[in-house]
Amino acid sequence: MRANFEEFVVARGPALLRFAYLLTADGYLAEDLVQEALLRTHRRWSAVEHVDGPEPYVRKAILHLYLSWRRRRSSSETPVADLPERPVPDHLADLFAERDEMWLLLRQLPRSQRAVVVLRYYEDLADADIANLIGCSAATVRVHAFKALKKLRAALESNTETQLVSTETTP
Amino acid sequence: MNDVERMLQRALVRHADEAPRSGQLLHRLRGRARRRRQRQLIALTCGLAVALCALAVGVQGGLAGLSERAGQSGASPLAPSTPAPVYLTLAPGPVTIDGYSVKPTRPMPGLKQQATIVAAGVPIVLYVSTTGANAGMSVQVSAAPPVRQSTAGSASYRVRTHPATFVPSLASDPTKWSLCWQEKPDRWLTIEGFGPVVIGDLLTYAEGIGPVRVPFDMPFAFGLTPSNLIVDDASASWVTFRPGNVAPGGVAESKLAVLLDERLPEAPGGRGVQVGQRPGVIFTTGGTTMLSVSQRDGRAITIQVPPNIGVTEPELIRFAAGIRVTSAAVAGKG
Repeated sequence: MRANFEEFVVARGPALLRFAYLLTADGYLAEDLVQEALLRTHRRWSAVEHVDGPEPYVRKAILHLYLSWRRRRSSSETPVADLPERPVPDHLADLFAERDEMWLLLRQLPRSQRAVVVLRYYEDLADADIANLIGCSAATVRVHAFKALKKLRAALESNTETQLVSTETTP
Repeated sequence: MNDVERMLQRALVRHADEAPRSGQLLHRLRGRARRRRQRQLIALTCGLAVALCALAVGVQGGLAGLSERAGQSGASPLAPSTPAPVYLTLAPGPVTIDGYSVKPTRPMPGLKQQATIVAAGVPIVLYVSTTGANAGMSVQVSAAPPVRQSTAGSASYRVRTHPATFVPSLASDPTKWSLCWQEKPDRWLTIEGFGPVVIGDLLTYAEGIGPVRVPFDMPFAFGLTPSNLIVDDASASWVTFRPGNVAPGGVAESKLAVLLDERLPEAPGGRGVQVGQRPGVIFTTGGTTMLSVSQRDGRAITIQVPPNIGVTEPELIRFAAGIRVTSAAVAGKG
């Protein structure tokens, strides 16, 4: 493998793995996607190395692999129809509950919506850049984001109501 | 940014820390690239054999089509684009490959014999340059004539008493040349190469090819045979088996492969298993199930099972437990 490619892998590997993990919520799948994307990039290294830098190319490859990956055997992701029941959280557990709850909700989003929220709220990209990465229009990106946020808000509000009802009925 | 967006951002930032560590990423990437090169090498060496087999199938299909058209009209069904899954069946007994029916007895100036392999069920002798130049050659015997090449620039010669055709530039690959002749109704010899060639040297070499049976030295001894699979490729480093619904020389990803690796590969998400008296690891990558078994000398036997071949884990382990590395084996290099 070329030395500058290996330098890129060492330098940017952690960021690429974080990106893939946030998309997949599966450590093994994330590494699988990153390795595959890097192998494909290596084949075209001389072409991608200098134009805009290799990282956009690799991220695009990871995204496309994620969006087109077909689940052939059961993975660690187990989408649930209903949120798991939780006791009324105390102050310290509030943060953990919020984090886990949002993470569970994220895992239920369709892949295209999830990819958009990761790119917008973690990678902090503009809609036009997200559109370029995913290969759609900026308007489509906004639609995905709108639907994702609407779904998340509805689920959060529904869960909050459930917790309030539990609080009231708990002696 | 509203409250949901802020919660979302916080969740993403916090969970990003749970991503796998990157310390072994480069090492695993190298291993993955090596395994892919091995599979690509298997596929590349099938090129000429695939063409020969395709022609043989085409000839047979053409004859069948003629009789069909004579009697009735009807379209032959299209071959499925992906093979239907088959389940591995194991039977006691070794795996053997028919020996070569060709033995070169004279050298080819500038080239040396590198390896003898089987590709798409056809034995092939491979030559490489002695000086590292961009030149090489393959020799193979087939029951069917080779794909008809353009006659532009071709010349006629004789190998012993047989008419032979030399094509200096193949239509399928202009960088390659070929010499082909027929010795018996079901015995065609084809020498195909790339790089500079002196026709006199080539004819002298061709005349020294003896029709003797040379056994193929298997890299592995199999205690159990995949009885419903057919040996497709073999070399000093690997043996592949294809289901009956995969054409000879079919894509590597549709064949079961047994390879000898220099060491146990990195296995992300892998699980340790006991294979007979030896430790192994089982993992999946790209839909393919891999079982790697450590050998006493540090090398590893790796079995790759593609998605179109079904096997239970106990059966896979039982198959692996019966495989031994022979003295003819050479570990694949990445």
